Amino acid sequence: KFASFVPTKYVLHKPVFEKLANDLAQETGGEVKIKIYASGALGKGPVEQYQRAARRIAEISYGLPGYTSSVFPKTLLIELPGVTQGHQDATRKLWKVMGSHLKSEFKKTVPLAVFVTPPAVLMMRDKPIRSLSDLKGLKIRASSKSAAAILTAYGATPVQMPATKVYTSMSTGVVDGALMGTGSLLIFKLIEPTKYVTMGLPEMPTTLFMVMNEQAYKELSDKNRKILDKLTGLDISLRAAQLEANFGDLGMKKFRALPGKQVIQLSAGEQAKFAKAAEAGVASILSEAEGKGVPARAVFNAMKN
Amino acid sequence: MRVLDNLCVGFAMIAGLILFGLVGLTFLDVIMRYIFSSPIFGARDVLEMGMVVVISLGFPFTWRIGGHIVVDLLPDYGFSFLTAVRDLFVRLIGVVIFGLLAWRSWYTAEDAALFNEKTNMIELPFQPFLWLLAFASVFQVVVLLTESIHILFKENIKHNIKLHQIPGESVVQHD
Amino acid sequence: MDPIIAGIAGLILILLLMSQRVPVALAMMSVGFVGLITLNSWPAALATLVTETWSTAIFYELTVIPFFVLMGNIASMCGMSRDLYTAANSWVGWMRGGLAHGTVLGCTGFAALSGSSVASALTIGRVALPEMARYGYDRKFAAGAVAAGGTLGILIPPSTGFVIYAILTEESIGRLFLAGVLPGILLAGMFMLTIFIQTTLQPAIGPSARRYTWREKRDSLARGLSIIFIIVVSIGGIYGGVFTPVEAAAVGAALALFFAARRKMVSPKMLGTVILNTVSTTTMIYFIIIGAAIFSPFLALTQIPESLAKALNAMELGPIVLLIIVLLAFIVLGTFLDGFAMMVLILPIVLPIIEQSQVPNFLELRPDSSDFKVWFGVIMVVILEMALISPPVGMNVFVVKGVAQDVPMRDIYLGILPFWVAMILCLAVLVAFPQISLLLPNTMLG
Ligand code: NA
Ligand code: NA
Repeated sequence: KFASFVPTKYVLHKPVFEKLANDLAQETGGEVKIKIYASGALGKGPVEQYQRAARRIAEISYGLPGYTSSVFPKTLLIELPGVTQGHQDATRKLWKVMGSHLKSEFKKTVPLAVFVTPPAVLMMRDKPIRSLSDLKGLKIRASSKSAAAILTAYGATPVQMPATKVYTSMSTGVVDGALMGTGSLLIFKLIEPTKYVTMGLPEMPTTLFMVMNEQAYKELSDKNRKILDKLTGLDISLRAAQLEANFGDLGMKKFRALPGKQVIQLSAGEQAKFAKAAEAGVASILSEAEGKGVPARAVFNAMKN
Repeated sequence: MRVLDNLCVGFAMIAGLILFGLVGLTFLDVIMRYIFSSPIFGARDVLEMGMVVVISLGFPFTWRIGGHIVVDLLPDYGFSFLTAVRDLFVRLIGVVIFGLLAWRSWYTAEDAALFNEKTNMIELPFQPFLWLLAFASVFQVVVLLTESIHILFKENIKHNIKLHQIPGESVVQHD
Repeated sequence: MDPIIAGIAGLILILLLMSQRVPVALAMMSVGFVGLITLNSWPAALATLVTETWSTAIFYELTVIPFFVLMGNIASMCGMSRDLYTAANSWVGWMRGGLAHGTVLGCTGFAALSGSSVASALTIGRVALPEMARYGYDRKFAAGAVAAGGTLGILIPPSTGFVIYAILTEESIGRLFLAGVLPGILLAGMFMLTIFIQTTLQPAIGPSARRYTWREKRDSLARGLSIIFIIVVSIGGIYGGVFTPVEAAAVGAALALFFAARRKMVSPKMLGTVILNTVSTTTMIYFIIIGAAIFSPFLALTQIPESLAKALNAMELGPIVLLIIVLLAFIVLGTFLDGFAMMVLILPIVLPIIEQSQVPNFLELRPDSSDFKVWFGVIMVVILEMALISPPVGMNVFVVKGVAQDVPMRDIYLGILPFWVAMILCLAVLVAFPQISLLLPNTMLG
């Protein structure tokens, strides 16, 4: 059983989830079958997805580590600004440190795919952001605690709300904008309330995972487990990341095509200012994590270099 | 039974006061956001965990006043013996379900510590709240068992709770 | 075991348990649990039990329920229902059937403070029924107006009915709330039309009451101002997008408490009553949502909704026929099932069927779109309202019976009948014109 909280029209459903199910059934001669329960049929919402696999409500689940950030302090370091250059690079970096650092975070599960969405952009309802100072005092929706810390470092006021509420909040001015991946333009219909998109900030992608219950993984025969290993891991992650990136690009393309919308690319000088501000935020996040006994700096450096 | 009922009311009162606190917090959060442009960081985290407390502590009380939705598909049995059997049957199911819930919540609480599960912004740990859920389920089992004993000895299990009913907000089942 | 057979066995078992007075939520939990052991595994069933209980309890959006219930309870306790009824009567009481018109208007106003129909029927009923008796209103007619008017409580926001629907379908609570406004006003209008027709045909059943002086009218309106203020700020705040529904509920509850304190109505005893009632209603609703959350993964594994949808599609009923069958089935089930119980049990089976049929196309709504789900939510809630007043089991009827003990049940149901017909008509209008439901959510929330 594969638990997915997203509907079947989701961009990864056919090319990744269904393809994996088909390939696995074919290569194991029908010995291992995956049935996908989409739209949260086995339990709603993204938050508990990891637990659904860990507790074997489903053998495989798809979700976001960011919803339970305390469980994945090391994995989520990939989302900090300045770690990655593009989704391919980010996904490779994740898998580079997977064995040495991250695997231990996936308790009671085996990560089948871990990858990222394209980096977050600033979507603003009526105030264009061309420089760091433009952000000062504006209310921006943040998706995680780290993102909130970075936004604070930029001088903005982070606001906490579920992704599904951003549309309404932006339409009506409860928040001035949101720092989210370009995929949200279409998924959460943010393409409508957003007037200005600012790109070129220090990269902050969003991580996604597909995990399998550890026990169920061990129960597979050696042969079948090898087949599963071959079908999952870095390659499937890269492919998923590419699909997410294509979807984000599609959102941006549609956005550009609409009248009255504007895409702002930060100048090199401003990018440097953002990067400098972000550095301070990153430093404080890292030292806070170190304070809690997470070897954050070591993982951060291992990812970066 | 009377002691249990008093405990039920006490827990429900605590739950209600916490609820007032949550209303106040959310209200303040809105005010802070609009007037001072600085929302309360982590208000949502507190709200989420606070509701676990409210539900856990409020549940036994609601059970005792018969506040849960029951369907009257069939007319009442005339015989008190059959009614007693039926009432015991309902409680047996309740004991099994809440017993399992108590056991698994305790287990999940340890899992939460292992996984390091916390709320997303101000990192309130899940574990104590899962303990509370386990405790509330155990308490519910005690209530159900006490009721069962009273039914076996043909005593009245009607609640002793003095409730000044507000017209209708509670859909109370009168038996 | 074959999943479909297991599913059918599960549904039969649920009905059996419910008939033995097992609380609906407990019946769903236990059948869902046993079903998950059968179709999945023992550890999965145990894990679902805890995971779904926990995730329901920490579900942020659901907090609108305790907050709005609290607001309604405070409003009831400090006499706001009486104020509303008096204000309405001072304007329409002099007309033929005026007190009945006033009842419907009072219920409409109170519905905007309270999320529950039973509460609306009871608080307004306590004030309105004695008043109508005093002026010699026909008892059937008066009871019908109160029972029917009260049902508006779950159509006009805030509404626990919409919140539960939103949780089951993952639709936005704010959109559903706004979708209920115009249909609520439409239904209130149809109730008043019903009263007008009845009193025109039989003037004796609803004589006119006294005329209020201008001064009285002004004073009663002034007293009602605080209520209007709460409604405008909280519900208006959702419409204007100033607040999320949870925030609006918190602001509404805080304002209600503030006005109660200004009227010097806050005492330890009042607070105790408000707390105990709010807590019991809240846990009752959470419990039934938890029951549904444990039952629905089992239902998904049985594949019953998919198979039923396929079978019905193969029969190629026209969209109108299918829709009528579904609505009739709901109305019939609603006669003896509790409305919420019916919704959490049947909706997960029926919604996919309609979504995959020709109905959305026929209505020019995209299936699986927010518009379709919001529209169906309104239809669903109107059906819940009908369930509340249809024999043999109708909560609102019991409530009216509780206030007017001397009126026989049969007479109350007879008095309700014309209003029930009005609801059928309203349902037909809402099906024919989905725009009525969708206008507000779409203009404001996009
Ligand atoms: Na209402
Ligand atoms: Na009924």
